Amino acid sequence: MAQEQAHLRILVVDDEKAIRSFLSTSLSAYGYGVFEAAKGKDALADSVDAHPDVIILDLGLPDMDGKEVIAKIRKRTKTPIIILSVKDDPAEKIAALDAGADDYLTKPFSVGELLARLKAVMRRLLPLEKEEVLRCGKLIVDITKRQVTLENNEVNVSPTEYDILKLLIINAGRVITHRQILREVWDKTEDYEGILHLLRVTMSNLRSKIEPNPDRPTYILTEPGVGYRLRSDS
Amino acid sequence: MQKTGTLRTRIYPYAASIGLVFVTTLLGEFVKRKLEPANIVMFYLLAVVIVSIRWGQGPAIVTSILSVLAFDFFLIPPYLTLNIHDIEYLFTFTVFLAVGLIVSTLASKVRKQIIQRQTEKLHSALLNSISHDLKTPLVSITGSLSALLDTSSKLDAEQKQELLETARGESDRLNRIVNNLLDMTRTESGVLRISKKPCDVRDLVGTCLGQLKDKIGNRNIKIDIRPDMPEVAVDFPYMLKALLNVFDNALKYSPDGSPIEVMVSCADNKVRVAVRDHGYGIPKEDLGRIFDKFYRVERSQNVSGTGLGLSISKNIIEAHGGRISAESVPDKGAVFLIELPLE
Repeated sequence: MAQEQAHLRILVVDDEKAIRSFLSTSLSAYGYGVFEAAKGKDALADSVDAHPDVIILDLGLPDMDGKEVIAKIRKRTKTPIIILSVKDDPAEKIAALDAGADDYLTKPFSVGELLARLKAVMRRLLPLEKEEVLRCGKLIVDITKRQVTLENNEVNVSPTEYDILKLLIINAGRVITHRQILREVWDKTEDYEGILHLLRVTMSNLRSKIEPNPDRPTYILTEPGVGYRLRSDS
Repeated sequence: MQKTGTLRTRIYPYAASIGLVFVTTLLGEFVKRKLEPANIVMFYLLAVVIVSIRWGQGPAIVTSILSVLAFDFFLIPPYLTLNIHDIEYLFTFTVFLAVGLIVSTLASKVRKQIIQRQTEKLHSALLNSISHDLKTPLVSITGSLSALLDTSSKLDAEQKQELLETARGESDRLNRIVNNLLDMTRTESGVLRISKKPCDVRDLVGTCLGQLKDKIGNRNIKIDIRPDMPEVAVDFPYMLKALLNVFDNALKYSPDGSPIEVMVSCADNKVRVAVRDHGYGIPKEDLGRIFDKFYRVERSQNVSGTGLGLSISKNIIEAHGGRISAESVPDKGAVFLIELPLE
């Protein structure tokens, strides 16, 4: 595990020295190369000059607004960004995701959670193979055959349900906002109520087909006020 | 506090002022043959003082003006007109108004100081209780970590693991307390801004159970939701918080291994979510107070908590125009019933 990540570099941006220090220690132990910045201005410079593979960015920096930092980083590079925030506020999360962040963690968080998020956002960097068969637990999605199986039984999903599941499993472990689903699956750029209702109904139907207990979903998790996340499976 | 009051509580002091002027005038009618009008003025002054101490400056000024008018109309000849024979009364009115204003200003200042002192007292009691709650987990965290740092060589691997787990568990507890305090300040009356959107109640309940999966463990959760439940307009993240606290409460106050039932139904244009546990129940005398801030049932001292969870739920549910109530048979369990209006 440590070996394969040895070449990956992570930029940690947080104004709290103690937080930078524990992230640096624990991520280095997992074989990541870690370098730190305490300000938004430095983060912008490092996001290009230091060639990080992933940026972990605190939203509450003293010198710049978090969303502004994300937007400016996005103008320069596509490097995945994971947001750290003390507020558990869906509006703030959505704004950060819309500005170009890939995922978020609410402080305090465990290193286990952070590693799962890192793994999930880094999957975006890997090229999609041609014969892709994606797995999550006992759920398998065969992209070439457009086929879904659960515990070796084929599941009959509608084309829309399939599109949603495919989007979620390609991004397994990563949050996908309502807006992202509407854009990718229905090609809608606005999230008016009618289409959101359709999304909820489709999601409910999809869950009743793939969840062992649809009343207590374990594959597709709801991110309150933000979107959905297919559980990461490691 | 005053500003968030309802229309009724804001109108009441003025109505009371009018009433008091009325009563004073009646009294004046009785004694006007025996007393000089200048002495009757003293009754009105008393009314102004009472109103300003009790309800503050605004109602006191209204009382002063009404007093002058009533005094002139009913008690000074010619009666039942605002005309006056004796120009001296003009002087009496002016002095009365001036004295009324000064007295009401002074009295309402004293009143404000009293209220401020009471609030400060409440705040320090609150801070005291919060600091105590925060300190308890901190003691264990500091203790465990310093044991690891200072006496590391004397501890075997198992003891070290135990100390680390204590520190971890207690920091989770600390985090829960801080989150509860934040939720409390956010949801207290008048502050909470919710944005209602239609939502799938099944998803709400499922997400709640998912977030509590570590606490639930293998416990049997029976869920009864009609498949054709209509959607209900709620602020999903806030309503999730409200449900989480109710569930967490049910889990905490019932023995490990006992089942918990969730029933979602829909009738009379309302969605009802009932959460039933088979635990210790709530003593009858506590039923009315379990949704109060910082209130905890006496026998629950060995269950960790801040006494804020259920009052946060209540704030959130009421901000949605709904209501929450509890029923219980002691030692048989409790049922929490949440009712939300369907639009």
